[in-house]
Amino acid sequence: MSDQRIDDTDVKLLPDDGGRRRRKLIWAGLAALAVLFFATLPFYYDVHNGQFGVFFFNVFVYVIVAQGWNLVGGYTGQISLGQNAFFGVGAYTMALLWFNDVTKTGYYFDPVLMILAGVVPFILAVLVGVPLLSRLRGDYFAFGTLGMGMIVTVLFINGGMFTGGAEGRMLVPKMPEGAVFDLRTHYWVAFLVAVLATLVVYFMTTSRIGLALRAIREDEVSAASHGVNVLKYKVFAFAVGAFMAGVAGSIYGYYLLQVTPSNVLTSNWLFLPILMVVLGGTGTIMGPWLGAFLIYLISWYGDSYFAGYHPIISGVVIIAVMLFLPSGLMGLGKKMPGFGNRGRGSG
Amino acid sequence: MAAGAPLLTLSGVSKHFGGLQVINDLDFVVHESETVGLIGPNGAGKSTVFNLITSIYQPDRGSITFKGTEITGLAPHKICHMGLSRTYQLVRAFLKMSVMENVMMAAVYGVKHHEQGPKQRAAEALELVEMSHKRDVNAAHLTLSDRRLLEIAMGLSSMPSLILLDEPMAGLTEVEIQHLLEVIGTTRDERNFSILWIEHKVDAVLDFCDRVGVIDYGVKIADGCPDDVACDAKVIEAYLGEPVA
Repeated sequence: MSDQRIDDTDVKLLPDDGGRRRRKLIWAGLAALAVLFFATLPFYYDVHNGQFGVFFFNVFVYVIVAQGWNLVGGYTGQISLGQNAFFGVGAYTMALLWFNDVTKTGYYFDPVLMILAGVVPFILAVLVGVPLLSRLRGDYFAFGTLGMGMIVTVLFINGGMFTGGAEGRMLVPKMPEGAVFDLRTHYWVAFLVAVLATLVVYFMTTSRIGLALRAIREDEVSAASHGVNVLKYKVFAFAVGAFMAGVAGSIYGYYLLQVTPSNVLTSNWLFLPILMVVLGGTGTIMGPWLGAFLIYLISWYGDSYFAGYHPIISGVVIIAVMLFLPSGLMGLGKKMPGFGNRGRGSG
Repeated sequence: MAAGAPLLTLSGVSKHFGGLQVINDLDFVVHESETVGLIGPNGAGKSTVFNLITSIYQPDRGSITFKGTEITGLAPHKICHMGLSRTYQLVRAFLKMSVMENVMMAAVYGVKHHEQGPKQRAAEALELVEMSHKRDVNAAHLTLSDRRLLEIAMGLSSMPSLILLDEPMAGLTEVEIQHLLEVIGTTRDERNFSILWIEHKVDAVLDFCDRVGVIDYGVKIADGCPDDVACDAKVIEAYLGEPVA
């Protein structure tokens, strides 16, 4: 009697499993091709002068922030609304250390500064995360991080001589002698870090850490009773997400060469990355890439053809995706076979 | 079965929610390699006892010791690391994860320091509950009885000395209950752990357990071997109401 039941389950589930494996291979192949394409693009396309150079650079910066949010919001289920604060703190860490020549290295794209630009937000996230994550859950945690972002913004605006106030810090005069502003460098650095961030999220979420993070997302109480130190893993994911946002902030700061509260602490760095993750597919490894390309493409072309009105287009796209693809673009592949005969989305 | 040293001891534990006294001055002991049932009518406070033991709630008064160490108010994950696992009445396996991922998660983060790696322990636990052939199935696709078995496997994978079972038979059919009892019986004999079992279905508990405690309105009204408890006047009254005459 029970054998009958087992057979039924096997018949239903085995093809699905094979499909999953095949889909994984296809994604890995596509990802390898994409990496090859973007890594070699500057050799046959003038990244410095062509508009796609700036376009892709911005997409990569957004991908880094989005992957950070994907880890804490997508995989661990903790909705952080403080990514712009971490982005800004990262940008300022780089700018102020460079401006005051603290490290004395004096060269452009200093890897030490870039790592420090991640470490400072990481520490901030631990300091803020321990009280917030041990006391607040769900929506309340989200508002707690939003409050932290507001505090950080005001602190930098009123930072006086230290932060340069609302005008921020001009970094152009600090460029080392003989250094040329070439967007190719920015493009490669941003791309490399975006790929690294993706790999970090991939390996974290497919390892044992990922088991704990996903368990926390589904049921914190149950995860704790199976031995997971819930607070530790939540703070860890929050802090790694902050690290990524901070490094992205430093890369963006090197590109602008002027770091001000209005360009690195703006809510763009908070809402757009979240939008990209949700649009691409929350808790998927490639979702942030798809989302970043699509959202940035819409605002890029929208800005040049429908200046002043383009947020309307973004808004319509977002509403449409949420209505018809609640699990994001990555959910499209799973939906394909039965796309026509599902009640939802066929009308 | 001769019981060993006390493993879990509750002494004078009380808990109230607002004006409602849920548990009142409860004393209870589970010994090593003992299977103890805890029964009582609806709302008697059975699940609250589990939530107090696993530190989901803090008791107002009293103390709980496990293996001679005070665990009152200890973080839930630390209690799990000491070798105490539990299942939930409303199954709380991780539905978006596969069976193997669920058990691996429990094996990796459960009790530390084992000769066997977590992979081995997870595979063995699945073998014990006869779910190995469903290791790649998502927990969301399992039947209720399979989810209960999965939760038991998750508990077993961390090699606990005591398992708390919270109404494992609720909502199962007669056939599924038989299978569950068989699985629990054979794993208990193989691993020799203690069980504290909350159940609504009194007959199954009376057959299966070495000792049975009965609580009603948060107060222990009986504690003894199943046959004595079943004939206890107070117990009959709690379940069936006061006699007319």
